[in-house]
Amino acid sequence: MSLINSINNLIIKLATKYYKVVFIVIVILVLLICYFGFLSQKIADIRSYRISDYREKQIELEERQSYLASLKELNTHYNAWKEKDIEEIEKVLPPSEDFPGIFSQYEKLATDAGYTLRDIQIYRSVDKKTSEKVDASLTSSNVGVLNLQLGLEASSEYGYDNFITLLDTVEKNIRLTDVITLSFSPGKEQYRLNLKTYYLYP
Amino acid sequence: MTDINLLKDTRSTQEGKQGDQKPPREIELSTPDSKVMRHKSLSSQAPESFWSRIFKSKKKDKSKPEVKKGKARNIKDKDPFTDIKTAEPVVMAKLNKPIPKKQDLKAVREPDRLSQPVMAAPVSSPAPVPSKVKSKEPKAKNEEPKIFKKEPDSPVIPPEPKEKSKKSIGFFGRLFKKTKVKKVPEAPALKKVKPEEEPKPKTKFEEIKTPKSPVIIPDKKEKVDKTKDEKKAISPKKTKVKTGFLASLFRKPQVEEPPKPITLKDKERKADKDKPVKQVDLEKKLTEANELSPSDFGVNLMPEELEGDMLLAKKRLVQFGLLALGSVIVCLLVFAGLFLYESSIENKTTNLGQEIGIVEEEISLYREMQKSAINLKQRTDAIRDLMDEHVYWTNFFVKLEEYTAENVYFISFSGDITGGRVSLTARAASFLDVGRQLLVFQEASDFLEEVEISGASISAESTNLGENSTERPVVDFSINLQVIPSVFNKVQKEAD
Repeated sequence: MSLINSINNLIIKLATKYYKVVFIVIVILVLLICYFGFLSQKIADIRSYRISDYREKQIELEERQSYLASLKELNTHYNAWKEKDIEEIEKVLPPSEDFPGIFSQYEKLATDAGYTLRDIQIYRSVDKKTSEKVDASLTSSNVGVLNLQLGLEASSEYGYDNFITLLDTVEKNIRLTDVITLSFSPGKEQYRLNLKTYYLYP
Repeated sequence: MTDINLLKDTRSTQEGKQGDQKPPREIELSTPDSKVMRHKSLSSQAPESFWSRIFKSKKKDKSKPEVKKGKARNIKDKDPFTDIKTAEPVVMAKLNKPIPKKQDLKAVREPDRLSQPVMAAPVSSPAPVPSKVKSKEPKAKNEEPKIFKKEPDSPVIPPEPKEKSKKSIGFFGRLFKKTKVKKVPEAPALKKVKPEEEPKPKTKFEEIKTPKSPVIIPDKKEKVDKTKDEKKAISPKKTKVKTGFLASLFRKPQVEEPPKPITLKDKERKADKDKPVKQVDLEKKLTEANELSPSDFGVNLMPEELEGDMLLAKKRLVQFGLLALGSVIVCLLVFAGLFLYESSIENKTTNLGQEIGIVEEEISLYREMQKSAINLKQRTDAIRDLMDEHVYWTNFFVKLEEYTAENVYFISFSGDITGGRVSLTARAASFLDVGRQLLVFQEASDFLEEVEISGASISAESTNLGENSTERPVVDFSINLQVIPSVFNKVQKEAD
């Protein structure tokens, strides 16, 4: 007991003598205890959850707003297109194979050039057109290819000029068509054309 | 603390007898604040003669203190007559005696009376002891101290002891003087207290004449000790000084502290002392005094320095507590601020979520348009790519016309865009023309990569010009061409 009393007295003496230091120590201790007791947890919560959520929301809103702005701009450009132009583009690269259109179109081509369409054969090409210059995402995934074999017969009156006209007509056909092989034999006046035409499937 | 000057009182009594107006008894009181009870002895027995001490040595139970200069207080405290052990019974004895009147003060001054010690009760004494208190000043013996007239209704008049140095008792008076202590009936129980002894050098006279045994009061010791213990705790440590006869003869008057002003409290206390006290009351008060704590007496035993330290420590502790509390409050305020900040951030986040929802709704309005636009864009992009790879056979034929020699024409044609191989059957008028055509094809670097003529043969070609048909020789030959791929491209056509 005397030891405890003496220790108490010593503590009281020291605390009385160096009370300024004790003040500072008490303040620091209390602040530290409070900080590590509950303030730090609160600050961590605010930093990790609240502020991060707020920033994420801010970023998301900015992204959405920019996306909306781009959509509005696209809408403006899309509305600038005429309906007729869009239809024409669909004719150039139809959304499907459109076999009836093929028959009608190429018959008309031959007739317009002075030739008679004798036969036509269509091969659905499994392999799509691939080219390094063509965008692979479009050509390999969305663009389909149809192989056509056309047999044309021309009268003896028609000659080289008519043939060039035919080729020019095929090249300028609204449905995009490429002449892969071309052959004609004299005397019979028969022309064989191997063509490729395309479509855009969804 | 009472100092009683018997000489003055005696003189005053004598003067009172001689004169008409008897001066009131003079009482000088020391301040009660000193908290230390001091006793002044009645020195009536001090100048006892050598012979009287010889004859009464066995009966005498109190040694005579010899007052030395500078140690008056100690000597006085150790005076057996002023000791509390003896003082209390005397007081009690006096209380039981009939109260002397003013005119009978002579009786009080009788030697046997004078020999009775009178004690001034301390401030905190529980039992009021009637006594005449006077603080004696050595320098101002003739000065008249403050005079208080004794109240007429005061029933108790304590004896007025004379001061030893001024006592006018003769040798024989002193020789046959008795120092009996009268018994006081029903006195409180007293304890035996060992006198404190301090080793002090003794003179020859002291060694021989002073009694070695401590002062013991018979019969009433235990009762007196009980009160003495209490007073001892208050009074400072006393030093016992043994004095001899010769020393007592040449003893100098004690130096006393100057009297302090008498306060109203002292007056009241004096009035209380003057009142008659019953034995029962005394006992009652003594028991009450034993039960009371020191704080009830208004006595603080703690040293002022320590008390100040404790007060300061308490004050600091309170300040520490307040500081800690303030710090906690600050932390709580910070926590509240953080809470508010968190709630504000939550509100902002919620608002942002609402804004995002509004934007999403607006975006959903453009969903259909977006699909159409995307489809259109894909289509246009595909068309662009296909157009870049579009095959223009017309370009080839234009070039072929350009690089065809005179007198040469083509009969059949077969071409494949995949390898760029073109096979032609041509007819020339002569072999010379065949050679020229070969040379032209070889020089057509922007059209053909490779030219090959497999063979040429002469044949007859019939021509019908009206009724006349003619035949002319012609040369047929085959040509294999490796065409430059760019010839079939659009750029080439535009350049042409």
